[in-house]
Amino acid sequence: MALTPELQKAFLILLLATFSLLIGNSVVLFANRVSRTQFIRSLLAFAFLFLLTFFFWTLSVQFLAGLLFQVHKPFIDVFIIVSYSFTPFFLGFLILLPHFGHYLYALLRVWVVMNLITHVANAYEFGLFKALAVSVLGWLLLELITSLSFLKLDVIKRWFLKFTTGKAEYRDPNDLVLEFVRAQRLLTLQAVQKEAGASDD
Amino acid sequence: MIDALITTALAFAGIILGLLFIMALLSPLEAMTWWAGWSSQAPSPGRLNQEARAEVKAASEFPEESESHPRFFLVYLTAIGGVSAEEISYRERVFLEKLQEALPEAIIISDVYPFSVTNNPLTGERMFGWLWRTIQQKRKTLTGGMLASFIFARNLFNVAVSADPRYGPINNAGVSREITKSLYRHGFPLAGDIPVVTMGWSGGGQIAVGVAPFLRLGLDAPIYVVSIGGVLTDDPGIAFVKHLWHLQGSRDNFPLIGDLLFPGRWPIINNSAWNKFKRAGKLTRIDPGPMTHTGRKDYFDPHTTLPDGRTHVEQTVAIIRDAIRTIEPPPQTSIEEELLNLSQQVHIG
Repeated sequence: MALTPELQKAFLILLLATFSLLIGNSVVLFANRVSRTQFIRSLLAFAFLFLLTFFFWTLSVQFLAGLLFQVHKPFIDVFIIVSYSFTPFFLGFLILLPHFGHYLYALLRVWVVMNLITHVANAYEFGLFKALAVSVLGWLLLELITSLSFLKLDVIKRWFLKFTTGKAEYRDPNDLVLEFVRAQRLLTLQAVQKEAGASDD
Repeated sequence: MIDALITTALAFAGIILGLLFIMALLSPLEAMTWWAGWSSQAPSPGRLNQEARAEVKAASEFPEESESHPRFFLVYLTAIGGVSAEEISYRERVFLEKLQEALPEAIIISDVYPFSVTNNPLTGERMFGWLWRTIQQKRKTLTGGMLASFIFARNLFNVAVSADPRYGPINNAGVSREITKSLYRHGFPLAGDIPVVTMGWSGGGQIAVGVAPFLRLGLDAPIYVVSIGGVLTDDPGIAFVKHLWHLQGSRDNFPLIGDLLFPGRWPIINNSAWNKFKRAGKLTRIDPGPMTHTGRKDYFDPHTTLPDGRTHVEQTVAIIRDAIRTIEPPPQTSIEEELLNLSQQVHIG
């Protein structure tokens, strides 16, 4: 396989997008109190999952274009099309921003989907609806697969999390903190009660 | 010549914006690394108990002049211009003194810096402490005054961290932990449930709301909030507040930032914690008169008078006094009852 300039560019885009998203999503890992080693492992795991999603999306675009509209393109060509649409993720590090980062992430994802529709429409010479079907159906398929309980993906996910972070599940920061505060209160009251009991004796 | 000047000015503006941007990106790090135990020892629930008891002991060695049975504890949280809880402005000091005179039945606490999870002042032991100290020392000069904008920006980003659902709970839990320790130092009973009023000026208003859930559960005390020109966001922590009094002068547009930037504050988001709180009648908006957000003619101005002859600070104190005196004491719960309740919810280990 020749590493054409287009393919080199596609790899570079994918690398930069992954790296930028890693930075953007890194700080939330602290909420689950991961150690430095677990932090690095979690980031690598995140990169792996992100690339897995990317490849799935690429395959789905290639498959759906062939199945629905009988237009066949080699995998490498579709890989380049999909990777080009991921350029908005260069700004993934902005997710770190307090308050705005939250909304920016949603905006970036919408931007990527719109980019993909445009690139697919151009490369396949499809109209809007055909491009929309090929681009979005793959994403819907991914959502469907990950929510099918009989596939036991939850078990794999938990094992993966345990392996990378040492935690059985990711907890919502608010729940974690509220539980922590309740424990603080419980321990203080227990100590007060113990002391009162000791002074009564 | 003019081209060179424009280029230099643009380059300078670019550098400033770049610095602000980096500050914004790094702003969640302090709270998050503290929680994960990367910057210091990770906080543990048991450690608060030990620290609190040590602080109660230390405080009892130096008893402060206070009522033996205060009706309220009032925690003052400074605005985004503050570098520490100790170095608050002269006007704020006058305000707090007058408020204490007006409310002898309350204990007023002002030793918690709301923009740090460990109550570490900007000028304290931290990586860029030297920089903040330098800016603070030169604050009264023209250059220092301009550089002080970085203090405002740093603390404004901290307010955004407090309001962000990803970082906020952790940041606010850290600040509430410091408030809890300060309350214990000032005689708050370890097993008591006296009403606590958090009172924030400007950005301190968001922190005052943000810490509410953690103070409510961590102290088993009813939490009330007084916002003095507060920038109030759509923090879901408001659900834990029993009542909020929001003072906004007719010449203060700063709180509009919260109204505009936080969707949960918009009337169309009917189901937000803020709108539910409002519908429950727990929000009282008060217009204290033609007061500005900060500087001359602000809420704490001891010289400017209103048409009735009262100074701004006197008016602010009177409003807050009257509001706080409407608070009813909560029904007492025994330690046994509370322990039973908690042990059903908490699994330690």
